[in-house]
Amino acid sequence: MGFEENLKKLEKIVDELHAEKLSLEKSIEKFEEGVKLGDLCVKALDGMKKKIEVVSKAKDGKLKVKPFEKEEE
Amino acid sequence: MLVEPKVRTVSELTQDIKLVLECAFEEVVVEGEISNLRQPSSGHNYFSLKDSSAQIRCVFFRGDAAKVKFKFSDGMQVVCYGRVGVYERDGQYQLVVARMEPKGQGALQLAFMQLKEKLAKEGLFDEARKRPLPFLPKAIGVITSPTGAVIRDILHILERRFKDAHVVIYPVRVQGDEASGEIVQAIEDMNNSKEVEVLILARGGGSLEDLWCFNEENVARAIYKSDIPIISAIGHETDFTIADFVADRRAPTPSAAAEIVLPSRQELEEKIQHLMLYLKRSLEDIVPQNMQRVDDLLEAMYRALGSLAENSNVRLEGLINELNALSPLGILKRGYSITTRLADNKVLQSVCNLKKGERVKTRLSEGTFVSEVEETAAR
Repeated sequence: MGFEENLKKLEKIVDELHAEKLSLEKSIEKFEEGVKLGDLCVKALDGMKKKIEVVSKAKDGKLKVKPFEKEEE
Repeated sequence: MLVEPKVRTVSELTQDIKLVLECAFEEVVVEGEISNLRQPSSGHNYFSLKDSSAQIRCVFFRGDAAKVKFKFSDGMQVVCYGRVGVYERDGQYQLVVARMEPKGQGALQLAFMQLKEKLAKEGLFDEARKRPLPFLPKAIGVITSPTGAVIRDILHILERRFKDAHVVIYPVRVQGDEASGEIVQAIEDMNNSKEVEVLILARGGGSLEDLWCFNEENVARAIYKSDIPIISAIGHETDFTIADFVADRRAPTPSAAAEIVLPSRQELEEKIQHLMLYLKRSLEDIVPQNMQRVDDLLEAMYRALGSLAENSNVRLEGLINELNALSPLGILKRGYSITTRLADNKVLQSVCNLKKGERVKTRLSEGTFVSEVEETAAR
């Protein structure tokens, strides 16, 4: 599942818990789900790696990527 | 003596006329209305330019005509740049057009308007067609010139906002005749490689001519066909190109595209933190509240059970007393006894049937005894 969906679900759970209309059992269930979703979001962010690549095309039409080197200013 | 007039052939005369005319009108600029336009498969264009009282035949050869970005047609007011030529075979003079511009506006403006109208009619700009951008794309494709301020600005802002972005740059020319073909190829290649989840098509500011490749039909169609959502970021805020209209999202500048394509990491992290905090707080609220309720309920239950038990005890005692009072054993306890005839074990209530010598059994509170009747007396 995507980062945005997880974040939206988490928001919804917080709203639901805030409304205090759930049973204790349901509340704890939702809380646990919320904690999991929050962890997934944080992990998704932490899992991203910086990578700047540039595409070049070989003569046979195949694409190759290599690290992009910033030109000197 | 009469001088014999010089007799010239038609060809010679035509040649002379041609020489005179073509020298006299080497460079002319003529405005008029296009009429009788013919465009045979050769690609050359034949038409007349006319005003209210005259007309001149024109020829616009394929090579020159291909450079005209807009579409010309009968009735259009145009300005033609060219020379007068003589077509000897037909004895015709004509305007050989080298360049044509629409009257009252630039050729590119007109071409822009024409293409815009055409593509709008086809639905290429429809809002319903525009795809949402991914919220947090795993990889971002940037189709632009690999040198210059644009790519530098985009990378700079992505770095500032997110630090760990994955960017794939597809270098293309963004100006000149080759540009549109390279851009189309880049969009297709990026779609085929499926490596990126969103594309930014970017170029810095420039004149209408500089930005022209983003107004070409092939680029517009490639953007339309792309499965990957495309953000256009061309020129300055005031520059609108056809690519901007087709793109799923228009960024006013390349820097703005970098702001649009990724959320701010700091804002995201803060948001998640806040949500987690609210989450914990809500449970912290809910548990004690529920605990309180459980306590209240338990207490009420004990109270109810207790009073029930108490009531039961009283009732039980009452019942036992009642039972005791009713039991024959209770009566015996008070000193009474029960006597039965031994022969048939019938309880004796009267002496009527009791005879002398009969044996009877008497039950006391504690124990029994058997005795023989010696005499009876009725009450």
